[in-house]
Amino acid sequence: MNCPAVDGQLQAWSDDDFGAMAREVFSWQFELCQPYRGLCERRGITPSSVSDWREIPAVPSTAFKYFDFVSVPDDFAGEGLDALFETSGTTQGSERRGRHAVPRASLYRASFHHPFRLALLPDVERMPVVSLIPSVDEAPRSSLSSMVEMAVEEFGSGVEWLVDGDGVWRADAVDVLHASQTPVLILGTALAFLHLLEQFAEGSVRLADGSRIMETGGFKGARRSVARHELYTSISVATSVPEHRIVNEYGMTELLSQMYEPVLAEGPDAQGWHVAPPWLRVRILDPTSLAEQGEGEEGIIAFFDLANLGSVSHIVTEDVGVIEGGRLRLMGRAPGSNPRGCSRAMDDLMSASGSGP
Amino acid sequence: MRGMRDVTANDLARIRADLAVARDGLLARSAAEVAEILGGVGARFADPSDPLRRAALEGLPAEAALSPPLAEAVLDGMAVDWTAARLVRLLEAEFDDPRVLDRFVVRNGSAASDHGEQDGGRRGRTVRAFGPSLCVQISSGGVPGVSVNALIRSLLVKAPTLIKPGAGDTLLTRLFAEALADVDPALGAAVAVRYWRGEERDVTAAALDGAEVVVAYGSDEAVRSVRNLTPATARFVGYHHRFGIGLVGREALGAGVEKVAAHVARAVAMFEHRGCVCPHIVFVEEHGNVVPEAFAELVAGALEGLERRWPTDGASGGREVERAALVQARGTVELQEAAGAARMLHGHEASWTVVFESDLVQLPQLPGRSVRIRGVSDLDDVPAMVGRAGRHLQSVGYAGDERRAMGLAEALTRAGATRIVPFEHMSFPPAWWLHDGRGPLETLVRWAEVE
Repeated sequence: MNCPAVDGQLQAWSDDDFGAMAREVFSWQFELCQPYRGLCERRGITPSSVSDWREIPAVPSTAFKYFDFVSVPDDFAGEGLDALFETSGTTQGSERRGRHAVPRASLYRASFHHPFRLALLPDVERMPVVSLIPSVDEAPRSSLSSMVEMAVEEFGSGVEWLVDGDGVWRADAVDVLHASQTPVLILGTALAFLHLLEQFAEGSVRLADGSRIMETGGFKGARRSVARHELYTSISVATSVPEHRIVNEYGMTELLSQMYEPVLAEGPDAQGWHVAPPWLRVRILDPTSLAEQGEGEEGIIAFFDLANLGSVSHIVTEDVGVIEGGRLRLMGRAPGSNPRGCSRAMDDLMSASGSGP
Repeated sequence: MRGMRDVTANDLARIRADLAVARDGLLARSAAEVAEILGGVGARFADPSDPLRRAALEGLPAEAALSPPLAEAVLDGMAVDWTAARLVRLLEAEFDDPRVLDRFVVRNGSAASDHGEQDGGRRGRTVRAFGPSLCVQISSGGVPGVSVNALIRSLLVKAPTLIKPGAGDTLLTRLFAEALADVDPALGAAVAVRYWRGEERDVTAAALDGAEVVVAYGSDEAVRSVRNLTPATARFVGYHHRFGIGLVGREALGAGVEKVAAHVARAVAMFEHRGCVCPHIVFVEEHGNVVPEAFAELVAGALEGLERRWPTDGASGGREVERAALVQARGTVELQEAAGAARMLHGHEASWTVVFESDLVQLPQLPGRSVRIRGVSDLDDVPAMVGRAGRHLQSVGYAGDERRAMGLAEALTRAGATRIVPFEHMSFPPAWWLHDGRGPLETLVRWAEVE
């Protein structure tokens, strides 16, 4: 079949083009991923019964904690996965971690490249990177570290890693920023920026014009909840990078594609609205009926990510949002939907060798 | 208002000073008298004609995220223990002679002051129990009324108390404290109800300053956080995360099994699955007249029936983020169903969920009104399964032959459980229950002795 171009300006794909690829991806995953196939068969849905990609069964993102969704042919077994990502847990480790197998990193890299360039480097080829996210050597199971590593390889002219895999900061972290004479790209999570701001207790640093920041991770699971606006204002004051040059990235371990707010290309008005690449479709579902919601209606966010070819593409998240004009606004996530200590306690009980049937 | 902070670190010094002054007023009363006054306030919550009860019922559904009929059932269940008679019984259950909270008492004898001297030490020890000079209670919000219980416990041992109710439990606490201040200003002055968010550790740290006893309720993380902020000179009492389980013996699976299923369903529904007194997993013995899977169907039927009496809509229907969590959990269970390891029964609009597990499965926490049901070949096998979960196990609901109950109780409590109870009484333990294994008043007091 004809594969719509992935390079260039990321033109939108027609629903037919996307749907044809989505159904092909579904056939692959139905054939090769046993737990997923079981779910589909239970619902009486097979590749031949699907006429619209929206009918393809979605799995909850939580299920990545309980099932290994790997869609590879039998003869792949000897070659090994290119990567196995894990969701982050709490420091106490009391939460079960989700796992996302990546048979081939090449597809991950391909899906990363253009959206990142358009969102963070629409105007320059390469620039120095300062990462508040640990390197892959430090955090081999982190999909975020893997992404930063790709950013450095493909768009960086040098990199400074300020945080190690245990979350320990380099003593000269602030000095590194002070020393930079040319525009830099800073990558970090919301929590990491909070830590960085604490280190700026005495004044601020003036980063060169043209510097920019990618913030990700939001405040999910963070103990300190600071409104995003407050955070961006503080970052801006501390670094002199204007607020509208701080790009929010929305991604998750369970998805190999990412979404960004295109503020660098479009200006401040683009703040708060995430854009998906053409191979990632976003829908909003009614929380009770799971029917697709209309424009502007709030509901649960569901994704169909073609880049997830090696696992499962159709995923319903626990995040809530709204779509307008094809862009996504994040509204929130169930706070403490999984009381910590509780799930682990139940695991303790249910993993004991009881009487099987 | 849920989530509204009404105190700053700076206010706390003044609150502490006011509470210190109020302690003299408290100590001037007898424990019995305090119980009488608290019981007078508490009884108002059970009186349909009382405006206090009406105010509680008006605000409770929204704050606690319970449907109005369920909120009323919860309040009724809680208020049973807020009467003078029950509180006096609580004092007696814990101290034999509650006058030990008022003055020195010769244990096993009459009050020391009645005689002025002891009989050469042979008659017993001359002891007195003091509530803390300042008790700080950091409560949690899952179950409304828990913070009122906490407050009552403090005052019964005559401890001036700063209490931070849980986010979903501020209303009853405030109403109780205000009504107390109206009827008895001296007692009312010994209570400060303030709310701030748990993440505001600076406020928590300031609140704990000067406390003699700190009590914390909540998740393991929340309790650990308060414990870490507790001054070295204060005693710490932690009620960390706990959950309940249920056991149904084959003797209960014959005639009357529908009633057992109904009791299980009520225990599951009462606090929308939030309480340590709710059964999260029910073990059902095989080889009864009704097989475990059929019992799961009966519980599902009972939950569907309860939907009319106590709707779940207040709990999750309107809250998208909670509903999103339910979608995650049910979707994961469906994958287990597809793997042949489980079977799920659930409401459609309603958020009740029953999972029958035919194999060892790991599931996410099921939010809302939900229960997991598993077959076991013999209930005697269950205590050995508890293992590490014993640290979080609290109530065990039971239906079956009473002669077997004592043997199971020995093994289950050895494994960590602190309460074995028929399902029909599971939701509301009496005021004098051994809360997580300790008398709730005894754990607050400091003993003194004259040798």
